[in-house]
Amino acid sequence: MQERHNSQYADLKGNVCNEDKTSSPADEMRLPSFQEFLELIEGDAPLRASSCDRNYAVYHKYSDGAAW
Amino acid sequence: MAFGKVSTSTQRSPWRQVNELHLHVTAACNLCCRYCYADASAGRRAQEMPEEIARTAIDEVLDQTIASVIQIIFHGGEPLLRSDDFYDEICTYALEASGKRGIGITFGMQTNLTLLTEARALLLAKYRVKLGTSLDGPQPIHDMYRGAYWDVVRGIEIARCHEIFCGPIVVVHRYNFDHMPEVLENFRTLGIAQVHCNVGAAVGRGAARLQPLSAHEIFTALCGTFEYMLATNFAVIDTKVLMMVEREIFQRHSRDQALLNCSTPFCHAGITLIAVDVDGSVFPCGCASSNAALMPFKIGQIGKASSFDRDRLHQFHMKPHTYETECTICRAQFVCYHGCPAFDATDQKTASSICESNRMFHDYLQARSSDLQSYRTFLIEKGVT
Repeated sequence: MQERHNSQYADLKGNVCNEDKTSSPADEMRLPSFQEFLELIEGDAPLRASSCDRNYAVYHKYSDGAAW
Repeated sequence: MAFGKVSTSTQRSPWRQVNELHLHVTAACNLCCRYCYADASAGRRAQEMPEEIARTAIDEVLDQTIASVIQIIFHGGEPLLRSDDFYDEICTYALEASGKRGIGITFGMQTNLTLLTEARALLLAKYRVKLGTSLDGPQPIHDMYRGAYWDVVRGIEIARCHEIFCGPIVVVHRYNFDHMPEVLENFRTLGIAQVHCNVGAAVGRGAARLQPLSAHEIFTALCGTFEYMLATNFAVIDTKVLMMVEREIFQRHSRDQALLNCSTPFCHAGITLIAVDVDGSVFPCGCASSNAALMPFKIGQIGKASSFDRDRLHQFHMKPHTYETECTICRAQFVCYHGCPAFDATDQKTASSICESNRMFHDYLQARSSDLQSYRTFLIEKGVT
């Protein structure tokens, strides 16, 4: 179970850390519109793993997930 | 509102994008924090999520999601008020249910840690339940709104020994906004290198007991954090301010619009994240579920697939017309998170103050361009480019 957990945890980390695979520099420079947001969430493509501010995944961006 | 049209043309599985499931396993709490947005207290002890609702919620998400991995986060109230048997059963059930479907699963818990014991830590470690907590500063500051500082510190030590501690959230409020270096230094003495600071919102119990911060007070907190990280060579990181500075340096909002979270212009609430309340009511997130003022944002009911209210979810995410007319040309658009749909709906004063403080912080960063080089170097060392 531990090995499986580590693998899944790494998947989450990867999803959070590797944010730069699909967007162009132009996309990064502008705010999305509400209509674009709707098209994104209604579309068929799976959205990336999220990370609520209240949970640990947000920390993965700058570290290995631990707070110390 | 500028966005009157919402899409209702396609009816699909409502939880198909969900990869984070919050289970509010109890409305009770052993503490009674003065600013609790969930308004949890010992007086709500009777309100616990039946195991059947938890199992059904897990099944619904696993059946509908197209995600390969989901997180289950135990929320409350105080989740450690639930028994070991409850977590043993739910975690075992979730692992078996996800395994049958070939979906990965991880667990987390948002807890005040005061009830954590060695025995409970062993159980949580068995399921690799990662624990997040709240710590607002050194004991005199922390106890102004929350209490039980030393119990939290003891809980952190237990969790850390079992490698199940993740990190604390700091709620920025009246008693710590101008003490951020002291707050962060306290974490350094505790051996904690990363925290996440959120400005307190006057919602739930806090609506009557938390005095909202002004723009200048929030700005003071941002600057204090910025200066502390710079002066200590990032001995303790506030991921919130660091992300704001990163966006300012690299002039971008998010590097992937498909990655939704609390820090993107449109957040993940109700889309990749849902929060299930003790009675099976589904809300876009925990912030939108826990007080009566936000009940209009209920988007569904576990066990009743037909109850999903897509229009209500879209209404939840709508922004004021100023988003298109002002935000898109605002000089502070990169440091800005563009609000929290849940909190902003009930505490517009704090939302307005955060907006103004973002402009002040942007101007501050512009004037500190030479110091931003230290931030840039640090971020690049961390692999952020």
